[in-house]
Amino acid sequence: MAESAAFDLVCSSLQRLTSLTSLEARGTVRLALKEAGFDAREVSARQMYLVLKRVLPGELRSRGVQNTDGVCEELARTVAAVSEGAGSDAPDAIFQRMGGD
Amino acid sequence: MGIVDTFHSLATLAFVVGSALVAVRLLALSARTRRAPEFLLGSGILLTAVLGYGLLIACWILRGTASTTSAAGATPLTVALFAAGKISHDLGVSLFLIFVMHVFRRGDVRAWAFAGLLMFLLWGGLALSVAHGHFRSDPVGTLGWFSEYSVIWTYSLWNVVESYRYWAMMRRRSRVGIVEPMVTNRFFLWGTSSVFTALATWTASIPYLYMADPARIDAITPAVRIVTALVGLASVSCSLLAFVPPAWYRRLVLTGARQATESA
Repeated sequence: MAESAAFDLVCSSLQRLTSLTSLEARGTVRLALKEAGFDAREVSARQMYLVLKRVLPGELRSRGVQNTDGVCEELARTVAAVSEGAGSDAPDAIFQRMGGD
Repeated sequence: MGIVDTFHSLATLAFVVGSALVAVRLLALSARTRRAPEFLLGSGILLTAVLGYGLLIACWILRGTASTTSAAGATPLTVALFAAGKISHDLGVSLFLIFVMHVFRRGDVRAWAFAGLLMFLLWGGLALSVAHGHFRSDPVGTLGWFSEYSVIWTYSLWNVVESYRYWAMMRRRSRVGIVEPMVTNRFFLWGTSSVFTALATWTASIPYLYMADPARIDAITPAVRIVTALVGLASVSCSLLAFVPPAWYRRLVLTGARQATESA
């Protein structure tokens, strides 16, 4: 199954900004998402922004990445520029709609 | 009518009416949003719980004590009701499977293949049963019957796994400051409703274990009816709280979430 655009964008940017390989970058972001309760296939840019701010810095520090705050700030700026279409079809958005919230 | 029959009839009526409320609410939503999930789930509930069970129950009432497991006592009307009930129910089960795929496993080829296998067993089994009994009776114990019921007994479990998995994910999101108590609770309720749906199909099927012993079936039927009715009520109650939540329930969930956040 294909990962979301926000996931792919963050992984490629993380690989460019750090010494992590593609596999390491994708694995690190995947772990951060899992810890925060998200799925790489459906995470939105808005949700990814929160993960970059609150979870990824710790994951990068534990892997010895330098300047983690600066890297995450840059990633957050990149992902914040992504525009998303109205109405998501992720399970949480569907269940929110179906409950009339 | 004894107390067991009265309770069973009232509980069944409440189940059908509650399910109809949820189905209408979701179908009305789908008419506005033009989105597939609400249409699939609303139609699935309408076809299984309202039309499917409704028509099958009407058939059982018309045939009186004569069981649908025997062709004796079948009339053109009961055959028509039985056929319409079975087809509606199985169509609803198919829509439930498509709903789970569409919401939780879109793009997952292996999961679609598994859903295809389940639908093949469901409809292939029904086709074999029709060839055997022509909707005059439910051919219990035949290959077609086992094929169809292997899906009827298990399709809810897939929904249970996916809903609880997502409920666990939603709970972890509080770590990044995303707290959506109603949506989180809805995944729990829908998973729990599916647990009760599975339990209801299992308890309702207990008499099939004693097909060779009619006296035993007569003895256990009251208990089976009470348990099935209670489990059905629990299932529809969860669905109603999930998709037609009353104001008091919203307040309860939101207050609980606020207290949990404050104490954390």
